[in-house]
Amino acid sequence: MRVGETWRLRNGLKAGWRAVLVVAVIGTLSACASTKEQTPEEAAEAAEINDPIEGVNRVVFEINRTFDEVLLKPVAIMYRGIVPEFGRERISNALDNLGEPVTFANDLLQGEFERAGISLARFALNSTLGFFGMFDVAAEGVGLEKHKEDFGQTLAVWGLGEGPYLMLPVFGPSNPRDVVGLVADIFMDPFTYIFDSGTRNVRFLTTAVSERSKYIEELESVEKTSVDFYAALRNLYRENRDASIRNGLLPEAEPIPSIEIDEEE
Amino acid sequence: MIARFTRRSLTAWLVGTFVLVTIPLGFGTRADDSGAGAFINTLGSRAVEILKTKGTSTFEQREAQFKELLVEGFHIKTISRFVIGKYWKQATDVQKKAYDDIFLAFITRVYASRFDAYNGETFELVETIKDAGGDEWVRTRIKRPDGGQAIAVDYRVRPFEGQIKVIDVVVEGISMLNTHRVEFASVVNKRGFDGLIEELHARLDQPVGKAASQTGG
Repeated sequence: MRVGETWRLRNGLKAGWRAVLVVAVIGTLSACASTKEQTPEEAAEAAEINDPIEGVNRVVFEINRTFDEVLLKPVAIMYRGIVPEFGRERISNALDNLGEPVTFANDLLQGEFERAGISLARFALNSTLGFFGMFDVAAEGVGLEKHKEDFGQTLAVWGLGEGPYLMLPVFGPSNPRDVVGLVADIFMDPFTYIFDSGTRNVRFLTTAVSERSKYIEELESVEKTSVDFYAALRNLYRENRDASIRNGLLPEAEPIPSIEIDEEE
Repeated sequence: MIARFTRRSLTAWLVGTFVLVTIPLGFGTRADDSGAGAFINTLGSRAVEILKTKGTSTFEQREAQFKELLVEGFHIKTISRFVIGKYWKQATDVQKKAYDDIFLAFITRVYASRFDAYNGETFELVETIKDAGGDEWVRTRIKRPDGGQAIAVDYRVRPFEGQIKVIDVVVEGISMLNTHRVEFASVVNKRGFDGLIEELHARLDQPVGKAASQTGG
């Protein structure tokens, strides 16, 4: 048993490093790809889009989309059909509760002591009175609202840039910074070590289905009304990440010029 | 170092306590002289009213009502020009007209189908903030019935000839304007201005309202 445990951990570490290596390689490749000559305007636009390996990303995106269409989305729809809202809410809360230690650690790493305190208190209250996190008594009873932090956000707070946009297989939209964050969060999570691999898999799959089931109509609507679904999701991911990093505070707004005169008249 | 940390965390606690105490008191106590909050509240309530007829109306009927809301409450021209950006100048008069002719229908479809996905959510105003450029941001939250985190929706508003109009809707930090801008740029770059017009028409030809949840009708 012990041997298996060590082996599993070592395997986990190996997978983690492999992910880091892959990102490093992609980063280097994309740096090379973007050195071809550009006008300043083109360069500014490329920087804004920040997607030097768009071709590869789009291929991965299409594969992910197919995977979602044939497997994840149908399972999520089925899940929503079988499990009533009350049950889904309990499951979603319990899964979120398991994420509190990672949020707590990242709050601390970001110097957000008040939020760390909230996260810690939430975990203590909800794990006990909230019956393994199924009931969010901390939010409903004491007004300690849920928030999430991850190591990708911590790196951003520390001043690390996001790097080029990446479409990961299965995991979807990301960037080198958030890939490192994803791996670090797995190592940081006490439940990685407490749960056996079967439980870890159940947790991962349930989270995927539970989260997907919340956005069935929303994503369908975005897809149907997007002139370029890939570009829409890219912007969605980046702006949403930025908002999470700012902890929901307003961004410095881009100026939008008023158009008051009608040119046609 | 330690003193600095302590001071910072003390400030954090103070601010935190202040926020925790102030928010439940509601936005009513906040200065809102321009009426931006009330304006968004009215728009939001009207949208909710439209959604209440879901059982008895068709998507087309609700979409027509959303269109009225948009024309009254949004500054469509500012939105449409920002979204097309630098490509406007490069377009021919015929292309410009084609774009203007389709844009309102497109944006209506976007908002109508996005809002139509809601079911039983509740909407509340949080606060109104003025940004450095003078625009006001009305921050609202949509509470989900399925235990997810509340969705933060910010409305960026600006007065046009004395009338407040929405120029952007920012959902969880995602600006509708920016999203459309990058999408439009991506399509124009690949398929030209006419390609974009074509794609906008294609989006409008898509059937709507047969989402998975609506099996009960």
